[in-house]
Amino acid sequence: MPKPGSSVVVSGVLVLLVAALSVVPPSSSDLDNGKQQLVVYCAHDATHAESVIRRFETQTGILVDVRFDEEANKSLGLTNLLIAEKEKPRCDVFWNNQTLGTIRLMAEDVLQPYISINADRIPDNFRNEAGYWTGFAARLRVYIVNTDNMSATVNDVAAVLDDGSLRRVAIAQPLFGTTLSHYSVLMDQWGMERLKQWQSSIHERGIREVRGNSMTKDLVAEGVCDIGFTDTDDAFAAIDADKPVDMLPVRLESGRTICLPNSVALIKNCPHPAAAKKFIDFLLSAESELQMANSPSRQIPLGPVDELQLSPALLQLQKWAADGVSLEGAASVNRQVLDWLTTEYTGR
Amino acid sequence: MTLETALGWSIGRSMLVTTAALPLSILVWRLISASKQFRRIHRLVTLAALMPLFVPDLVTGFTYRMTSARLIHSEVATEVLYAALLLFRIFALQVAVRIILPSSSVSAEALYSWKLVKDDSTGWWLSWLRLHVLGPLRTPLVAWIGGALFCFQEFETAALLQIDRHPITWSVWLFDAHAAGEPLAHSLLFTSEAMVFQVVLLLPIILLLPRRGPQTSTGTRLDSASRLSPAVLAVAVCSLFAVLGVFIIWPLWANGLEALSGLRALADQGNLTSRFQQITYSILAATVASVAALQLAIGVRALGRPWLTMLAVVPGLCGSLVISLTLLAVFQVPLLNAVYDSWLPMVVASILLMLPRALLLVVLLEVLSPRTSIHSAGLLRAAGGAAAVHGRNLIWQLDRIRWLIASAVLAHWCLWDVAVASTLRPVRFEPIVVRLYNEMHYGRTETLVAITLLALVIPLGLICIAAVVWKRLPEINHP
Repeated sequence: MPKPGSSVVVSGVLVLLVAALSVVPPSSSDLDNGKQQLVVYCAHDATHAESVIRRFETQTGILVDVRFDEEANKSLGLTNLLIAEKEKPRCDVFWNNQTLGTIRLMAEDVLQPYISINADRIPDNFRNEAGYWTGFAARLRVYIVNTDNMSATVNDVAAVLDDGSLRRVAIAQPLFGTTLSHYSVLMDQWGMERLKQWQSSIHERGIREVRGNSMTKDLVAEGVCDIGFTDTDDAFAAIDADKPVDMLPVRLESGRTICLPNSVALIKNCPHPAAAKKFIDFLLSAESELQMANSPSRQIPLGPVDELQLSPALLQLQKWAADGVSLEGAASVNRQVLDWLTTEYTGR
Repeated sequence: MTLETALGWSIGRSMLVTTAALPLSILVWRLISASKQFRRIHRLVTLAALMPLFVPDLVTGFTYRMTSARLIHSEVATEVLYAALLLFRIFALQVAVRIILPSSSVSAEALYSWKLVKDDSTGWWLSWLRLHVLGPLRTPLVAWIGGALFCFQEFETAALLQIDRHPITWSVWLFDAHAAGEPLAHSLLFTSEAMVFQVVLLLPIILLLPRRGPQTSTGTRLDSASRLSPAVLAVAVCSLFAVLGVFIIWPLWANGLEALSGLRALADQGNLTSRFQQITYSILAATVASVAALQLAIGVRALGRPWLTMLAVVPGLCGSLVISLTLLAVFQVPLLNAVYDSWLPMVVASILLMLPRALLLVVLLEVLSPRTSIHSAGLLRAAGGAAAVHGRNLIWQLDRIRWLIASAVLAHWCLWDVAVASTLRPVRFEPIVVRLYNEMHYGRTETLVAITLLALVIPLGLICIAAVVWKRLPEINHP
């Protein structure tokens, strides 16, 4: 056994070694090549975003280091991480997979405005006028329905949701992700009192709350539940796996759908602003929207693209997305909804 | 659901599960002791009993998450599934505790002598209690407390099995509260409530741990194995098979075939090299953290101060989430910000997290280390010629390989801890465990299983290489 005295010395040497190692990030050899650098925080699924980012690297020669919004790390989330780092940011561009969190960052003074040369191809209601953020490539909130257990029609889904037990209906916990956005839209449409009544009603009727849209999809795909609230990309994951499922858009009483675009924003005082602007221009281009539309996650293009290159399923999604409700109201009540839900779920 | 309710669930569960696991672990320990005469069987039985401690939570959680999802309509069934998985792990931990702790210095003869001489004064029961807590009750008590602590701290399996409302664990409650935007100060405050329970449990363990130095017992070991009755043998063997079935056979059966197609998919996508690289970097970080934790633990043990031991283990008891979030805040301070985007925060967090376990391993090594034999082997080595070779081999078997295994076990735990890796990793480095969680989220089961297989096999290969290299290294530390 090592002598106690020597072990303390070894500890000291080890700590020094770690400290020395720590100033050399892994793959630092790339830095020495004099290539331009860029750091992107990306909440879009890594499996789909990686190919877009690699195409940017190939086209521009700029090396991109990406930090994805890991499933394992919902407790922190990229928005919270950006807020924590705002005094000395290491991130240049925030690619969010929705909009409300980005708007929160704007309020927290984490972003700086940039109006991209490609921003004008995105409809006005999906971008910030001052250029703090710009939306692109959207998803929709949908009902995923197990077609072995029931038919996926508007009437049948409404019949289940409007009355009786919801023990075979699943929804993700609304504390984060697109379910939180869904709740914020409902709050904007209904007001707090009615949202609380609805929440209380679905719980009393036994709705199954799970830890994410992915699990909601799994429960419906496996036939454990008949209906689930989820997003188009999750529904397509089940459809592509030949599960007996179909989807319908979630429609509000006004007939509007809930369309949640990706959004991109430039970080205030970021280390590589020039490369960051190039990346934002790249993401907002028609080519990138088309690439994401034709990926397995089927993100819906918001700007004009060559429709001949879109699948029939995508064209259908585009029609539903055209009915999308404005998210400005939802953004303004997002914090209020989160505060209420925090109280509701933590008892504080 | 309040924190107090979540704590109530967690405390109740941890008490019940650790109590239920204790008799099983005693039976299996007796089986292990009884098999000592058959060396190979003894090793196999010990390995099987300890196996659940080394199966990553991700593998267990992933294998049983859909089972749990199918039980969503029954809260009782969900709780039973989670408790059963915990029970098997705790049972393994309790067996490990029995291996770690030396036989008590209060021998059966000592207890008998005490009975003969005891007077009937009012304070006799205090002395009875003290003798029994230091004697026959010490090992079960430490095993019970260790099990309760392990169960209370568990997070990842609970999160994957959706133990987040009814039933719930405090660790998942804290995770969700923080995700919902609770500031770090609040999270620390919540953790302090949970800490009270852990410290209350921990104090007796620290007092009951053997002091540093050779442990000898001249009397009859109180918990020594007697001949096993057929019923005891049957229950112990069944328990072992259940453990192997739940943690090894079923996960292999459910996922094994997909590993091959997953490897093919990785090769087709050209991702094999990058995954190898990720695994290697992750192992490097885990190794640095584990060796440092082990060395610090040796230092703490050498100083032998209970308050220092407590100080060393308290951060680890807060759990990886709290450690990660605290260090994230600490490394925003201008003085430390220069090394924020580096390995350092991740490695420091892993060290803090591993310190309690490192201390237990150091105690184990102290207990198992046959000092007189090592000394004799050292003399043989110094003699030169063929005796020196024999001496070197003996030192390897009696000492070095044990340290290598201890470092490997700690590194294994570091490698598979997801909260630290995902919160504190540098931007340029995606630890393999983070990649695995993402693969699970995207439903890419084939590649998930393949990468998991690689992440288990590559470290094993590296340990073998390290063993060969270390065995040939000249002696440095030994007298």
